Parts: sequence; structure tokens; C-alpha cells
Amino acid sequence: MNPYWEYVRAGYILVWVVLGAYSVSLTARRREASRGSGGPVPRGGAGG
Amino acid sequence: MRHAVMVGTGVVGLVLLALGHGLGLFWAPTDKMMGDVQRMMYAHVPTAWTALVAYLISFVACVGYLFFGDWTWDLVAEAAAEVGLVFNGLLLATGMIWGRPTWGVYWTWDPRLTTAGVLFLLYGGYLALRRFVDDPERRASLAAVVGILAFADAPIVYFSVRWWRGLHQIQSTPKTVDPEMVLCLRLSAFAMLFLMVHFVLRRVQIGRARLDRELAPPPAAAAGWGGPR
Amino acid sequence: MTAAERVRQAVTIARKDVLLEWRGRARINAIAFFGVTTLLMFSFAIGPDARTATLYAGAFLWLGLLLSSVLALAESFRVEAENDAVEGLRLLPVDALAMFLGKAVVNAALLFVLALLLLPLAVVLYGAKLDAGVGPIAGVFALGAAGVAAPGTLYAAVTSRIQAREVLLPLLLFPLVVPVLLAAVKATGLLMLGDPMGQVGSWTQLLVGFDVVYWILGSLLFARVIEE
Repeated sequence: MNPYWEYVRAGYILVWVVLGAYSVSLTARRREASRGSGGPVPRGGAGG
Repeated sequence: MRHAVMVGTGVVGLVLLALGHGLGLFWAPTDKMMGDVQRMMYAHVPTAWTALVAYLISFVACVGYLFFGDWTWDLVAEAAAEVGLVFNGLLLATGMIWGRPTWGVYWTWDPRLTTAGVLFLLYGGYLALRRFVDDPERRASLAAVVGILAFADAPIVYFSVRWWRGLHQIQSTPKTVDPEMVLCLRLSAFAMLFLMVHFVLRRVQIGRARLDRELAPPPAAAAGWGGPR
Repeated sequence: MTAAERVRQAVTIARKDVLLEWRGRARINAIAFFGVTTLLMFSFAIGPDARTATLYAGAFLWLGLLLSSVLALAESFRVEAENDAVEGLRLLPVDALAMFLGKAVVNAALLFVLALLLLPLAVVLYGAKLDAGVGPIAGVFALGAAGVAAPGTLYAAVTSRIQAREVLLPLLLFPLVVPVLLAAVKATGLLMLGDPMGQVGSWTQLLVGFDVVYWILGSLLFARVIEE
């Protein structure tokens, strides 16, 4: 096999994994951000 | 409606990306000069365009916030900067992976690569600043100022690095003459553009939820500032 | 507000800052000493090879200056931030533009003086040559100092009331002034080592361009930084 394919494969895997991971992190943060937003919230450090 | 746009951009982006990358990897002809390693292009080049578009959106939103003072501008500025940073990171990583087999080194002081590196640091700083300002209004103004200054730096960095390297540098991008290559590149570029919009919309939603929470307790606004720190 | 009034206010603020710096000159002395120490550390780091030192004299000089500049810039809003005096200045009919210009000019002058102080040290330590004359080198120093001072003043104001300002100021400022560093190091190096291709002019132009862009941006945006 062409040795260059290893680099190409690594690059494509990286793109898909990072974009996937970012999507997952958005979901997790969305869940965290909306949790308890309806009721009274204790004022904690912002931005965390 | 907004939900439909969000899901739509995500689905379209994902399908287009799979199509563009799949065709680029297995259907597009092998480059005569660079060989198969040129296939990196379909992953690498669109991240550059997408990151730049995201930063441009963030810049426009920063200006918009300073002019109109509406929260949405601030949320979009933050979201686009963060998503831009993700694509910028991918741009740097795929650039290094591509650079290793073609130039023998991971990093060269190519003007575009260097500008991407500096932009990564600038927007990393922008997002870091946002975390350290508690008062939402103050955070929005300060971040907008920093966002404008950071974006204005990009062309200056680009030209200074170009001069620094010498004006007679050979451009390193392979020529995309084959229509198949152009098609794959375009598909991947539009795919990432859609995904970028999708991510920005989702990030804005998160920012809005957080902001609602910050603004929710009425006494917070009055008690938060004024005392010596 | 008329332009003359604005200039008068800027001068007043600048004079107040210079007076404060002069009264607290122990701190300024310490910053200058820090710059000297950095230059020394660079020569220790590269070893006793005189040729390398001469070759990179301009680079080390500017890096030392940039590292000390953060300390000097952070200083420019410390007094105001500690005593909540920005609020006081804002309540007085002081124009934000005048305030920015006053502060930025003082910072630029401070960095310029610091650079002039470090120059003889570069000659002694690195064997930097001043054949081209001190005048042109001082010109590059002035342009570079102005380039660091404009965004530096703005960012010093941005970070002045943030807990993590010690790390945020350099984090925000250093990537931004990459073009200043490139151009100033190149121009200084060419002036010290000889400029056969006549390139100093274009690097000076780049510095001027950066200065114009960031002094304008700073003047426009400073009002939004100091507002509550």
C-alpha cells in the first residue's frame, strides 16, 4: 500500500473524530445549560 | 422553524461531507505531482475556508453588538468564535499531517499556515477572556472589542509573514485542474459550511440558556458591581 | 468637544501618569532591571558564541522589551483599578478618546525609553553594531513602541479589573503584536547587520501601517472598554 495513505487516513479520521466529539460536547453542554433554568438557581460562578 | 434549520443544516452537512470525502478518497483521480497524499486537500482546505467564514461571522457580530447592543449579537460572536476555533484547530492539525510527507516537516512558516496559527492563539485568548468576566454586559463589550482587534490583525499577520519569508515563495497548493477534484473540494467545502452553521446555531442555544440563567436573579445585576475588588 | 480641549485633557492625563510613574519610579526601575535580566538570560541560553549573539541581537532586544512591556502596561491602569478611579475619571467630563491618547502616549514613551536603555546593553552583551547610526534605530524603536502601546493600552484596560489579568494581558497581546515583532526585529537587524537590499523601508512601512490601524481602533473602541 502507498505509505502516503497512512497520513491521509490519519487526517480524515482526525476531522471526523474532532467534529463528532465537538457535536457530543455541544449536546452535553446544552443539557447542562438548560438543566434547572426554569426554577430558582443558586448564583454560582458564571461561565464555568 | 429554528429547530428545523438546525437539524437540516446538520443532516445536509453530514451527508455532503460523507459524499465529498468518500468521493475524494476513492473516486477522484490521483494527483500526478503529489500522488495520493494530495487527497488530504479535501479534508484540509475546507477547514481553512470554514474557519475564516466563522471568524468573519464573529467579527461582524462583535461590531453588531457594539452598535446595537442586542444579546443575540454577543451570543453569535461567541458561538462563531468557538466553532471557528474548532475548525482552525483541525486546519492546523491536518496541515501538519499533510506537511510531514510533502515537505518532510510538520510545520513550515508558510504565510497561511502561520496566520492560522496566530489566529488560533488570538481566538483562544478571546474565549479565555470571556470566561473571566462575570458580569454579562461587561463581558459582551470587552469581548466585542477583543474580537474586533483580533480579526483586524489577520491580514496584517498574513502580509508580514509573506514579506518575512521573502516575496518569491512558491505557492504550495496543488493545482486543482481536474473537474473531479474541484467537485470533491466543493462538496467538502459546502459540507463544512453547513456543519459550521449547524454548530453555531447549537452553540448560540447553549449561550442563550446560560445567559438566561445569569440574568435570572434580579438582585444580581445591582449587587454584582460597584464594590472594590 | 473641541479638538483643542481634547488635546488639553489628553495632556493632563499623560502628565498625571508621568508624575505618578515618577513618584513610583522604584517600580519603573525594577521593570528596566527586568529587561536587563532578560537580555542576560538570552545570552546565557545561547552560550558564549559571539557570532550567534550578534546575529540575533535585534531579536533578543525586542523579546526582552516585549516581556517587560507587559509589566509596564499592566501598571498603567493599576492605580485606577485599585481605587475605582476610572469611574471617577468617567464622571468628570473627561473624554474617553483623550484618556486613551494620554495613556497610550505615556506607555509608548515608556517603552521607547526602555528600548533606548536596553540598546547599549545589546551592544555590550551581543556586540550589536550601530554603524547605521542610532537615529534610524531609534526611529524603529519609536514605531515599534507605538505599535505595542496602542493595543497594549487597550488590553491593559480590558484586563485591569479581571482576576486573571497577569496571564490574560500577555495572552491577548502577544499574538496580536506578532507583526510588530516581525517587522521591528527585521528592521532592527537590518540596521545593525547591514541592509544590502534596502529592505528597511518596507518593514518601517509595515510598522507604520500597524500603528495607524491600531491607534485608530484603540481611539474608537476605548470608550466601550471603560464604560460600566
